[in-house]
Amino acid sequence: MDKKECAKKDMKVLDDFYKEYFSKSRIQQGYWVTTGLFTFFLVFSSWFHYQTFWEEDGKVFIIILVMGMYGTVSYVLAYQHAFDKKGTIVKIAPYLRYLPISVKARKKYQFRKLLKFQWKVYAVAQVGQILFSLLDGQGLNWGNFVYPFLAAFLVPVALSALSIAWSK
Amino acid sequence: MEEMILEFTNVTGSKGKFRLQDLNFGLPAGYMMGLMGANGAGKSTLMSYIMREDAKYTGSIKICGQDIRENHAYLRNYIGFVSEDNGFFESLSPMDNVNLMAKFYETFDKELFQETMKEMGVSLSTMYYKLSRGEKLKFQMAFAMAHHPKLYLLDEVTVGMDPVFRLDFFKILHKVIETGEASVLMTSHIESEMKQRTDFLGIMDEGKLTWFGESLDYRQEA
Repeated sequence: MDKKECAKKDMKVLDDFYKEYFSKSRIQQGYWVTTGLFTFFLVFSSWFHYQTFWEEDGKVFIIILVMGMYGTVSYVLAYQHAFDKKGTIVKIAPYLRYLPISVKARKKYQFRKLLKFQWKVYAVAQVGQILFSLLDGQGLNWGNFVYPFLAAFLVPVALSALSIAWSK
Repeated sequence: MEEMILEFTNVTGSKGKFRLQDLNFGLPAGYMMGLMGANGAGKSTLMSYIMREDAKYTGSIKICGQDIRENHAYLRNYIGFVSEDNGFFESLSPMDNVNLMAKFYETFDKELFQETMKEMGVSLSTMYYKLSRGEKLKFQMAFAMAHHPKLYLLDEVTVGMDPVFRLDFFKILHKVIETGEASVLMTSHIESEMKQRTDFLGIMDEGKLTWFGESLDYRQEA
């Protein structure tokens, strides 16, 4: 099997593993609810935040924005953790350490899942940004595109990529 | 020429306060090797150098003639690891653990696993954390046997075993090596057991292999 086929096989194996593990583990419900809630804030806030950033209550929306980004990190963290017998959240790495899968393959899988997820979040935030701006009669400018890209894609991906890179 | 399942050549490294110094030995196919030494001698560190891809050392460690650093993850298909340090999901049953982890191996015989567990009298459906220490070790052994490794690594597994189980355990080990296709490397600080039960013996002290040879020679020297 050449390197490309090996890499493809590793991604499939990890996909099957996580699908099965998440179906058995309570960790999924908690993380997905957290991710869903905060991602909603991010998408919802992206339009309001842009409109009100320079106003007094812009700070409120910065908090909402940070919470939205946390949703992304939660999504990534779900792939890095497991429950032990006491229900405490622990690192998943020790459970995979002695299996025939490299740390590099695992991190690559997590990053690809992150990109796929965040791309969808950004797409919804961008469409929302354009729609609300048009409905509000304010028209569009470069900020309507740059801001969602930074807030809903680039910064969350960068933060989560760091989390993946530093994980063992 | 005998096929070498495991070869250490000039391996030197350190991991925290534990250091290995210039280890050289080989384990041919179809044999059992015991590694003895006091606590902190480096036995478990040696095991971790074989199992962990983040181990830093000079020299080479080969499994079936392949340097493990060339493709560490893939070569773990050839290794069956039994240890209290081995991670299985405590809140899942042995069968659930297998359903999750078998996917990673090139070949995994689930039927063989279930038969072996039945022979050893270990439940497939009890949560892993509820199994006794002996049952966990039996499960790990059944798990290892199911993916047909070339090398079984057993780290201090016989400590605290009752005499009946100990006998059964060594019968299982002899069964896996009698085909001549696999070998066993086990660590212990129980000298009498290592002298009597193994074909080769290594003595470690402060990270060095101070003696290596056939167990028969060790018994005669002693």
